[in-house]
Amino acid sequence: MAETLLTIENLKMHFPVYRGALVRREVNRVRAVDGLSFDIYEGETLGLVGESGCGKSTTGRSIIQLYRPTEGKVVFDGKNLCDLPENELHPLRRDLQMIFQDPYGSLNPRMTVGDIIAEPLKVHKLASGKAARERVQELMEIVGLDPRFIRRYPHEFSGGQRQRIGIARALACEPRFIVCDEPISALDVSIQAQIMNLMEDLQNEFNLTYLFIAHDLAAVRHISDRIAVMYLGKMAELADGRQIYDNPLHPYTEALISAVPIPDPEVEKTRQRIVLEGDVPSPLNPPSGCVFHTRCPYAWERCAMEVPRFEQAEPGHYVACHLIDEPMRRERVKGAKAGATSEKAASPATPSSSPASPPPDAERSEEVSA
Amino acid sequence: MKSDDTSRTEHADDVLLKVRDLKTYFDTDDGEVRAVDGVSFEIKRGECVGVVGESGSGKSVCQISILGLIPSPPGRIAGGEVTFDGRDLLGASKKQLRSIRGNEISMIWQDPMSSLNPFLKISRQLIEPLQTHQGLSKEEAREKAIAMLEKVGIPGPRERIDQYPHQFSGGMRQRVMIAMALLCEPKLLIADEPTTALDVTIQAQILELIKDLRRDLGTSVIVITHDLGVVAGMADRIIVMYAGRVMEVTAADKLFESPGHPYTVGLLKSVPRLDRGHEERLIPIEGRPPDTSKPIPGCPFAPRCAWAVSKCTRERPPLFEVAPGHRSACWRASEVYQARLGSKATTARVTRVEELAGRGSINESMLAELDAEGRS
Repeated sequence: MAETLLTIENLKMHFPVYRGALVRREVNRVRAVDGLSFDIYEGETLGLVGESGCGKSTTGRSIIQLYRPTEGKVVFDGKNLCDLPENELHPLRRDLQMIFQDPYGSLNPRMTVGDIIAEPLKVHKLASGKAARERVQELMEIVGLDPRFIRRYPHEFSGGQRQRIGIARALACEPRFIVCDEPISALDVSIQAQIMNLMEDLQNEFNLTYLFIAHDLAAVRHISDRIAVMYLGKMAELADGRQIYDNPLHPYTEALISAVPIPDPEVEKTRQRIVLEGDVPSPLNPPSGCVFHTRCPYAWERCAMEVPRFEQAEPGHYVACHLIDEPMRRERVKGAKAGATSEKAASPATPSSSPASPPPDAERSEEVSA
Repeated sequence: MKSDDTSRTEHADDVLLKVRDLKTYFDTDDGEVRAVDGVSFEIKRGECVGVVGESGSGKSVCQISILGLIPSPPGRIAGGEVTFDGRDLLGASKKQLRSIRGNEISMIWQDPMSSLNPFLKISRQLIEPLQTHQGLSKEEAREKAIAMLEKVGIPGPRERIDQYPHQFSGGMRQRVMIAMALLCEPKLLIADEPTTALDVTIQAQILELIKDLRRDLGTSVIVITHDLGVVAGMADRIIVMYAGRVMEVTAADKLFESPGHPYTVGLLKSVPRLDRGHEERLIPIEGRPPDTSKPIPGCPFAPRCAWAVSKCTRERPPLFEVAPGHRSACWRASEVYQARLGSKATTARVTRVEELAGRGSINESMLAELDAEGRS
């Protein structure tokens, strides 16, 4: 097993919500990230997936201290980053870089490509003048940009090329860890593969560790060694990419995987689709117990009352779900569903939309025990 | 030269929409952009057709042109014919078009927030088309709208019909859009990236809904998407577009089994698949899409194509029929088709075939040799 690069313990990032003009008071908190614990190993790509609003970007930003977390620890090189004051954190930021989603919004339109890529070198006083220029040209070469374009401005480049500029900037001070926040989702399909291949090559060449954040499960599965699945600020499941796909333990992972269409009609015909009902609840007012219980096809009374612990179910396979204690429930519900599908086919599904409405747990658990 | 249409022995009655040589150009400062450049296809009654392409491929503009919704200027229809249910749409008056749009042809847009009026209650937006197109009274229309909301899976439709769009979530708003599109029981539903703005679990809900409704109502559906996966599970036929042109048309399973155009092969091999691990490397399509404001004399994909020969940059390939109902706009279509580079082909095999293709023409014996090599 590779060495641990980062240890994240009980990471929480809450954003306060204020009301009132004269007397501003905190009325609520958005629990964007609510108690995550996991390790990131040296040289791996850890994929982080989840739907919009589940807190995956916030997680990435809190780890590299772009947000200062509300609570918890991020241990890097034996130091807890969350405790460090800004002046002590600064030298460590060299090692922790980020690639952003929007290749248009993340590059200053008034700076030349050369200045953009040289910026981290200046900030960390690594190189200046001719040396900086040479380093920038080297970096441009590495990411597949023509070094002659050093004086051009971002608007003169296509989306894919801009993303290469962002990658060159992230590589400038030879980081060890890069948070890649949806680095390909703004790009056209034919360009996405170019960027993913580049990222893989760079990882091998410079022994980089990635946290690859994306909503596209297929892309994450392709590029990652391990995959973490988030739901509503909590970690649902974390395992090797193969385990996640072949043997998802969390009902949310199971549904997520079944919902991703596969570009092969033959495969599509044989796949069982689990269509989750309703929408993701608001992180302002997350459900009690397991945050997923309002949409979970297997939920029973315990799920609404007790928060499941994030535990190792198999070697290297972590999951937060009460089904681990009672695996038979899943089979029984599936059996009951299979019998009911023929009736259900006649009338379209009527999902419950409003997150505030009480979950139809009671009804379901009866079905289970019957 | 063109091998499309005429020879086909379809009953005219089966064809709901027929588009021939459609050209939509936009006059811009950079010159004339040929967003749609000679597109022909047809949609049969009850059929679901996927239109696949990247941004800028003209897949949306093509459908918007059919509806007569191209803003003019700068856009204009520079040529072609569109026949819907026996009627000419391009020559139709505004009044005629208005009686067809939202009534016989409906559209679902990508972004449900900006296509619903935020100032009006859902009820008003749903009732209006029924009153204009079908002459129903307000009460009848309201009842029908409530029934439709229920059909698309909105709980408590009687209460929710009096809410405003912002009170609905993204997935629910898309359901409202679908309800609105289906109210007048259209013959054709055009869905432009209906799930791109939605999360994957919500996408699954919406796709299932469109499939169910299509089965129940017998509506023809055109799904415009950049995601081959979306159409793999629901389309009967697929049209692949690139740079304003049709690259390939065929039955969905044939497209994935044995694509006839190098661009389709590129799309299949550059997209990661959830059921494949990360052992297999992606084959990116090098370069980027062409600038459609400059005239392209040959095949627009030629500069990025491993199969390209000198003819490709000079002469525009027509749609060749490589198998019954399977047409591809490539000078080497039958070679590409024979090579079976569909979703089952491994990266290694595709790379080898493309290497060989770069050197000269490919025949059956070469492929057999290659496969024997691969097995040993």
